[in-house]
Amino acid sequence: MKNLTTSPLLTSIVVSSRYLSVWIGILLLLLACYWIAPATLTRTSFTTVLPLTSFLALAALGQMLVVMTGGIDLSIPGVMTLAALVTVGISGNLDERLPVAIATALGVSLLLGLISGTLVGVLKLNPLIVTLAMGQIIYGVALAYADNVPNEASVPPAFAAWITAPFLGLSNVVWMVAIISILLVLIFRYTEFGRKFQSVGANPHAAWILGLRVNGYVILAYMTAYLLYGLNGIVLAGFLRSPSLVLGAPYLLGPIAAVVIAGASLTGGLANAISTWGAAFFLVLLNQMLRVLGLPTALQFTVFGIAIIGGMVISGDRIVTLIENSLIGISRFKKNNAEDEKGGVQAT
Amino acid sequence: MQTDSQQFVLELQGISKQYGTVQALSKVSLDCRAGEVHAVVGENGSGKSTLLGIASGFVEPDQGTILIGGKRLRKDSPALARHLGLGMAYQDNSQVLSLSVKENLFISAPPHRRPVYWKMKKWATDTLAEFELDLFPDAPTMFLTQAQRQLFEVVKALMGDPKVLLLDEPTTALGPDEVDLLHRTIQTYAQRGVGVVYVSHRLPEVLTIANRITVLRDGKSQGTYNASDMSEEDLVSLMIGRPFHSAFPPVLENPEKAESVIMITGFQGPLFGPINLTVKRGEIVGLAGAEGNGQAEFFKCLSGQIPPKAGLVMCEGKELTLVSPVDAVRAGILLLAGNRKHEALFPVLGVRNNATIQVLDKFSNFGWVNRKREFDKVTDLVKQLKVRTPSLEQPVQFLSGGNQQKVSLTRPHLRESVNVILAYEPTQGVDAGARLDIYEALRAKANEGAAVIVKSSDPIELSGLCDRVIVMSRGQIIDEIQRADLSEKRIIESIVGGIGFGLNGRPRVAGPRSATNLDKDRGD
Repeated sequence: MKNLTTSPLLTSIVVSSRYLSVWIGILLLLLACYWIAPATLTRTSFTTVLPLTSFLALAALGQMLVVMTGGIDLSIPGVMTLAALVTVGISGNLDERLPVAIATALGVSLLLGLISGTLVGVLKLNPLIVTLAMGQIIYGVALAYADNVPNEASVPPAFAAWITAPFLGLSNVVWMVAIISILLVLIFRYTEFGRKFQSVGANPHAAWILGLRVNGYVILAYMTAYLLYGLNGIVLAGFLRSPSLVLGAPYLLGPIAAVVIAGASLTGGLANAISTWGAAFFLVLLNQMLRVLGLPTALQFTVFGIAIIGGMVISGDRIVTLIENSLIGISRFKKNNAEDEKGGVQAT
Repeated sequence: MQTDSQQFVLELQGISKQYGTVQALSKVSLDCRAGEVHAVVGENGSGKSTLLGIASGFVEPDQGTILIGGKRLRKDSPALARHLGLGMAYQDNSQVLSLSVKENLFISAPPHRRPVYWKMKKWATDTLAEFELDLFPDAPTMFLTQAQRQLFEVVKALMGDPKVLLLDEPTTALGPDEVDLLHRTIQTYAQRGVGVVYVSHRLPEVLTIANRITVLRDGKSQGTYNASDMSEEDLVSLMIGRPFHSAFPPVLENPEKAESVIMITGFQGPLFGPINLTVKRGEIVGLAGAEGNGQAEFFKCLSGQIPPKAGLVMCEGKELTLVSPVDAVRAGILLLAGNRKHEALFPVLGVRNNATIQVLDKFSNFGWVNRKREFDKVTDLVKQLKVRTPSLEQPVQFLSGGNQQKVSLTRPHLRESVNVILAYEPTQGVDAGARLDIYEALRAKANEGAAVIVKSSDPIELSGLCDRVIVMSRGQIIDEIQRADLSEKRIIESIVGGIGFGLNGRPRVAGPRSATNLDKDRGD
């Protein structure tokens, strides 16, 4: 009854294999850049790649929380746009009104997260459709709100400067997202809350029977996710200075692609914040490389689509199953050889 | 040719099958002659269902050949098996629940037996009458009782004029009248030259109906015997493979002295009640009965999954409000769910994560888990319960059924204050080696002061493990068997013979508590 995975080392390889493919992908992509588009790897290139990675990663971390509960969030563009507009509208170029603006934008995001979370968690509606509809509603609200925001309005200059200000060689926003990623990893690894959250995602029915308050965790997942989207809208507004109404548009599919390529289980439970960050980096770098190569912008969509499908083919559950099956295959072969010996043991 | 009684209608030769890490079947051979009833018996997890699955083309064997009516089944295809002359009545029924009885019958009949579409009802009525099955052809299948579904499943299997009929636990939900009816049908078809393979837990039935019996244990055949040469005791010892007393941990010494921990009075829920039951500390109480008689609902209500309709549950002198699993867990009532993958475990998470999920607060300071302490504690427990896992991080989906059950069992062992353990089919899909470990883990927790209620469809298990067995029928406790009288035979007699089910016997809607029931409970 033994199989090859009786070794702890192999077990950890199988367990972590779902997060491996993204790092291998980054390595291959860096090599490809080095050979065919060295301009991608210059310092100037990275001053746009890293902030863009951070924005994509921040949205993807929110998406990751939703995916961990077994859902997929399609409301990211709406939340980001609304949060960006609220920041600009309330702060209105004045530094002293920035805290109020940020607090309001985050508060609105949390409230919207509470609504989506309640619809999915308590009323058990399909997350895909709920977030699609919520995204529409939120975008509608954002459009209405945009009428009150003057066209030339922008974020306070001090805030815009802070976003891109370098600290130890990297801009502030890059550090911020890196810290949030690490924080999420620590929460899921070391805290009671994170562990229970993961279990609820892995099997909500069992978690409920075991006495966990499943609905609460689902609502909290959406609230935290929306908080991250809101934050993303705010920092993106700061980066762009004068945000447009389509600011959120690229963040519909991008975060999903990042989460999937990062090796998250789409049935819930398993995901890793650092590899999600890595997947965001992968996608942005890929995009940058295509741009350096002079391919049309329209190709971006195709690439994202292919990246998602490719990610689903090579990462996550499929790779774990593949590796586990090949290990069992080897052990079955070994076992047939040792069958006589085993029979003898059982007879005693 | 069909009349030749020596002709084999089903031959399984050297069948082996491995599921993940578990050898479900190892070189099992079985043959069934025309006109013969060949029974297959074995405990939970001995490979009976896998064997039938392979014979019916539902499961692909790793090794071995399958001959149906002398022709080889070359690929795992139920349609091909049916074409070769095999009929199968599945244990977990294969009806389309949203369709009506007549439609289900229509789709299961081979094309040449199907009537024109608009004559379906008449045809279905005639067919059902032929089998003495009193069902309304237009009734949606989901409204049938479990007993009716089981009988209907057999009728469906017979629609294709099979040469060999496989019956997987066809009587689990049946009362005595229905068992008689089924056996009459089986014998009629056997006399016409159909070979019948009959898998069952109920040994008295097997001995009545079967010509030959094959015993399986842990995926290996223990031989084929003539039914007339065998007694129940012979079969039991072949099935468990060791002396009966050493297959189970010792029972409670002085049950009279223990204090009661849970008192259930007038408890009612969907499909059961009113139930009165008191269980003492250290006691393991078995819950027997034909399937679908409220046992599952009783467990669901006690574990807080379904709010009960009426009644009082006192645990340690406190009245419980069981409206959510949180309430049950807080009161120290822990469920070992039967469907482990869906109701108990987090398949993608590791052993450690699965074990400590309910008791993380014990290992954490201000919400921060001390992984070293957690790791040490789970390591000890994995050794104590003999969980065979390569590491504590192994996702439990890759463990065998027995080891998965042991991982669920670490949960009550990680808590000091467990009042009641509800074990639903604790050894379903568990290999024989792990079964004793699971019994011992349950007994150990009982000895620490927990009351254990075990729902099982295996009378041998109940008679060996339990201090007392209660039998449920139509949602009520109809019998209580004390340790001194406990035997596999006595349990089956009580299940089958307790209250006669009518052929249309639906579980009765829970009515007011009857005086006779109360008296009986007090009398004990």
